[in-house]
Amino acid sequence: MADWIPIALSRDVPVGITRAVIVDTREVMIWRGEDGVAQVWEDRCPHRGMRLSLGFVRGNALNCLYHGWQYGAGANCLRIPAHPDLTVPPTIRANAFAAAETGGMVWMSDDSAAPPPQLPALTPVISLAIEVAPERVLAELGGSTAEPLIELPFAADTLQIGWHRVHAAKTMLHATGAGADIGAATAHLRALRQNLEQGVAA
Amino acid sequence: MPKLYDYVLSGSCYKVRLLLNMLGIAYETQAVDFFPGREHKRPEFLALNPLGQLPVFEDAGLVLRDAQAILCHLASSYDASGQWLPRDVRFGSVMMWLSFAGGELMAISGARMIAMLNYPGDLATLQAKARTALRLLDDHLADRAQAGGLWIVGATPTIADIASFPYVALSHDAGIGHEDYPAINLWQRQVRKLPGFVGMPGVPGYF
Repeated sequence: MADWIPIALSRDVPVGITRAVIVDTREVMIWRGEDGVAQVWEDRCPHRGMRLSLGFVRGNALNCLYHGWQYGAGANCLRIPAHPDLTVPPTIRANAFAAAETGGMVWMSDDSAAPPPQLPALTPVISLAIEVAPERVLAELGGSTAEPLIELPFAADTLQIGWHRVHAAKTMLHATGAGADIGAATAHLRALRQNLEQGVAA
Repeated sequence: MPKLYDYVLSGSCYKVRLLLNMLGIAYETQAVDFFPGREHKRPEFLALNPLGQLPVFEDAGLVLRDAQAILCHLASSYDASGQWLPRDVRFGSVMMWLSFAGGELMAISGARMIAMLNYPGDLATLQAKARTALRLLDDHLADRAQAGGLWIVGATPTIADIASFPYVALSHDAGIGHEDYPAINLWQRQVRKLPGFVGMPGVPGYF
C-alpha cells in the first residue's frame, strides 16, 4: 500500500482526541496533540497490545489506557509509569504511519517516500460508512479505485470525496466541498448510502 | 437517603449513577448479584420490581424501576436549573431520545450480555440492530454538530445524553467499535468532560 489514503475528515479529529479507523482490515488510530499535528499509528500499544485509540492525549503525548505508557509525536515511548526513573530505550516505539493533512482530510501512507497530494482547503461535509464493497460504491459515484478522490457534481458545487476501504464489503467516504450547502450535500450522500445498501440487500 | 439497587457492570444502573453524581445527590447503593447469582429474579427483588430488572431506585417511599423513568424523577426532583429535563419545546425531543435510549439502543446491552456473560441469544442479529441504532444516533449528532450543537437536544446536556451514553460507550464489550461513528466519537468526549462524570468497568474515567 504505497499510495496515500484519506482516512478521516480533519474536522473530526480535533486537538486532544483519539479516533479509531479500520483501513483495509488494519486497526489504525489517529490522534492530535496540542501542537496540532495529526498522528496516524497502528492501534496497538507495543507493550500489551491494548488499542491506543482507547488511550488519552495529554499535551503532545498519547497515553495508553492500560499501563500508562506514554508516547511522543515521534512514536517513541517517553515514559513508563511503573518505572518512573527509567530512561526508556529508543527501541520501544509505537508503529507510526506517514501522515499528512490536505483538502480537509487526514491521509496515511505506508511509504512516505512519495509526497502527499496537494489539495486546496476544502469545507468538510460528512464522513459516512457504507456497508458496500468499494468497487461498487466507486462505480456508483463515478470514481476509480485507482484514485483516492471522487469528484461528485452536486448542485453548483463539485464534492471532493476521499474514500478508504474498511474491508471487502465496507467503504468509508470523507466528503468535502468548495462552497457546498453542507446540510443538502449530507442529505444527498446519505440517500446514496441508502440506495447502495438496499441494492446490496436486494 | 435515596437507595439504588445496583450492579456494577450494568449500563442501565450506570445511567442512574452518572446523573446522581452529576447532580451531587448523596445516595446509598445495595449491590444485587445479577450474575451469576440471578438475585434480580428472586422473590425479594421481584417484590420491588416484578419485571425482575435493574435498576430499582427508592426515594422517600417511592419505588421506581426503569433507568429512563429514574432519570426523569431525579431531574424533576433535584435539578433546580431545569437543564436536565427542560419543560419547554425541548421536552418532547428529550422524551423521544429517552425512549430510543431505553429501546433501540438496548440492542447493545443484549449483544453485550451474550458476548460478555455468555447469555443465550443471537449475537449477530443484536449487533446488526445495535449498528442500526448507533448509525441513527451518529447521523443525528452529525446534524447537530453541523448546526453548531454538541448535545442530543438543545444547547445543554440533558438526560437524553445521560441515558444514551452508557451503552454507546460500552459497545466495545459487544464487539462494536466506534470506527463508523465520527460524530459519536466527538460527542462522547463531551459527555466525559461534564462535571461529576464517573466511569465504570469498561468506561474509563480518563479521556
